[in-house]
Amino acid sequence: MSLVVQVIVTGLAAGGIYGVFAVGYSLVYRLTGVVYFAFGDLVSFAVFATLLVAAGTAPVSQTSIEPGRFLLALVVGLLLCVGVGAATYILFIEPYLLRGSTLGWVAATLAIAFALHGMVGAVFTRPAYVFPDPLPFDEVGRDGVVTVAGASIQVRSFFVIGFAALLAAAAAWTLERTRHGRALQAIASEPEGARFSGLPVERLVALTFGLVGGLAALAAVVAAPSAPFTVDTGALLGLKGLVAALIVRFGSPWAAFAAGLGVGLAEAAIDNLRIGDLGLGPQYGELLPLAFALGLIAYRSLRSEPVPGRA
Amino acid sequence: MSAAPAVLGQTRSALSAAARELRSSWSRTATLWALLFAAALLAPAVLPESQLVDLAGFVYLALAAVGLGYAVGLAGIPSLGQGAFFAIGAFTEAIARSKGDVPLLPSLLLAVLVTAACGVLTGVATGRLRGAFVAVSTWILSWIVLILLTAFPRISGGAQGLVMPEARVLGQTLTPTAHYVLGLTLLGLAVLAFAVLARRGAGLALAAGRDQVEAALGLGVPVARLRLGALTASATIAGLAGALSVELSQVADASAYGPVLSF
Repeated sequence: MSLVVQVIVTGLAAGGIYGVFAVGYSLVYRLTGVVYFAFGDLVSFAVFATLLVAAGTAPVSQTSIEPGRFLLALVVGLLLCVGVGAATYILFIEPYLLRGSTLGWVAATLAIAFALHGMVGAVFTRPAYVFPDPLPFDEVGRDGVVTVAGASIQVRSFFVIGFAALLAAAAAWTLERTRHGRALQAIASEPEGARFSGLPVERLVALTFGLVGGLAALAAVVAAPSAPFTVDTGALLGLKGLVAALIVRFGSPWAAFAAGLGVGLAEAAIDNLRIGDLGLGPQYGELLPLAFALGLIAYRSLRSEPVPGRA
Repeated sequence: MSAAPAVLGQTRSALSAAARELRSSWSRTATLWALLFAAALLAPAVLPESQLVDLAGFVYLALAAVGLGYAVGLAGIPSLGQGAFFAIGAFTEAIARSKGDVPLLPSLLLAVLVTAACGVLTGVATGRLRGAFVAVSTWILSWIVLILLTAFPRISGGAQGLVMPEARVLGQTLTPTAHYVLGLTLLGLAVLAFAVLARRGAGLALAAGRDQVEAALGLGVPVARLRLGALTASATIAGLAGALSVELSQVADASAYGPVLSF
């Protein structure tokens, strides 16, 4: 029982972050038809920029950070993420979209992913980093750990779940209730019509590229102190978010978020649960969701109309 | 006896026709490429063996890259799985040779066949997808192969990798020089086949399918089959390059293969 509770809480905490990524992938795909390969590394870039401003590249302990400086670091990280995201769209994605070149934007977004990854790797050379925690969770319970139904759980896990849900809700609310959101819906369903009716399509889409990056970066920064953060963490978070988005076919924000939670739960369950003697272990936790997504794509592909896809 | 001059005359005219054709289709670029190729073949004479190993490794990577050109350039398939196919070829070879004690040539054949099968599977599974989804699924495939290799030491030999037995064929050891020449020859053949294909029937049909799908289909071009062929050829070349490169380095190291290798 205690293990099940543990799996659920850790699964939801990880899944919440995947969910926020999935929301971003879905929004971007629906607006532009682009699968945003640079997403994970862009967020990783923002997280490490935040770390750089907050603590430099030296080792930090969990609490050796002033709230003021952390806030400044967070703002810098988010602004960078939003700026780079929007610039990426304007400079490297839109030109290829206008030409109808799938190869172009695939290569461009991947090149940006590798460039960002390389930059982060060049500055942060140690295998893993502890991210400072600006919030005093270690004062709750025993050093930040509480016991629920026999399971020891980090208090900040609950905060991460709640915060991720809040971010997803904010995205859904923006899309449904604000002028910006309705404009985006218009662009998604009728790009030409939206252009003719005077919407500044380029600006709105670029802004969205920036905002989904900021949203995911915020989620990643909030989750980062829970576990060591490596140069590859961002790319892996992005990959799992992409899997979640694929499962719901780049659906609505809530569907994408729910799929993210599902992926997180599945991963935690595969990592930890055993049925009798049958247990798969952590190496399958990353593998199986990916294999599932690949199988799902293949299945949908084979069931679709037998017309070869356009490049 | 009287037929001989006639045959000779026919042969001569056929030869001169062939030479004329060769001359007319020969261009300055082709001369340049031929010269470059010849110059590259001279490298073993001037370079020490240690540098030749690195160079041969690059040649094998270039071979895989030319292979990628078959899928991306000719067919316009945004495949991101070339690194995965390279790794599949490399590890099929490594496992067959270090654990199965398979001789060199059969193991190479096995590696190529396994990679070709993976290419066919990938092609069939993604054949009806839009470009964006082909990119996504081959990208995920790359990650799956990476995770398989790094998280499952039983397959990949873990951090030590798989150490290969000495590569011998017909009683001769395969030296770095032999690898270099072999790699360069394969590279030359792959480039040549690419250049020929791009101007001939199948390549033109692929280009038509890439640029104007509806029109090509309307003209009865078997776009789906051609694309499957292009992706399979691309994967097969990568598999061969991977298998040979692992013979060159004599150790298969899991951490050397990842999504990044796809470029």
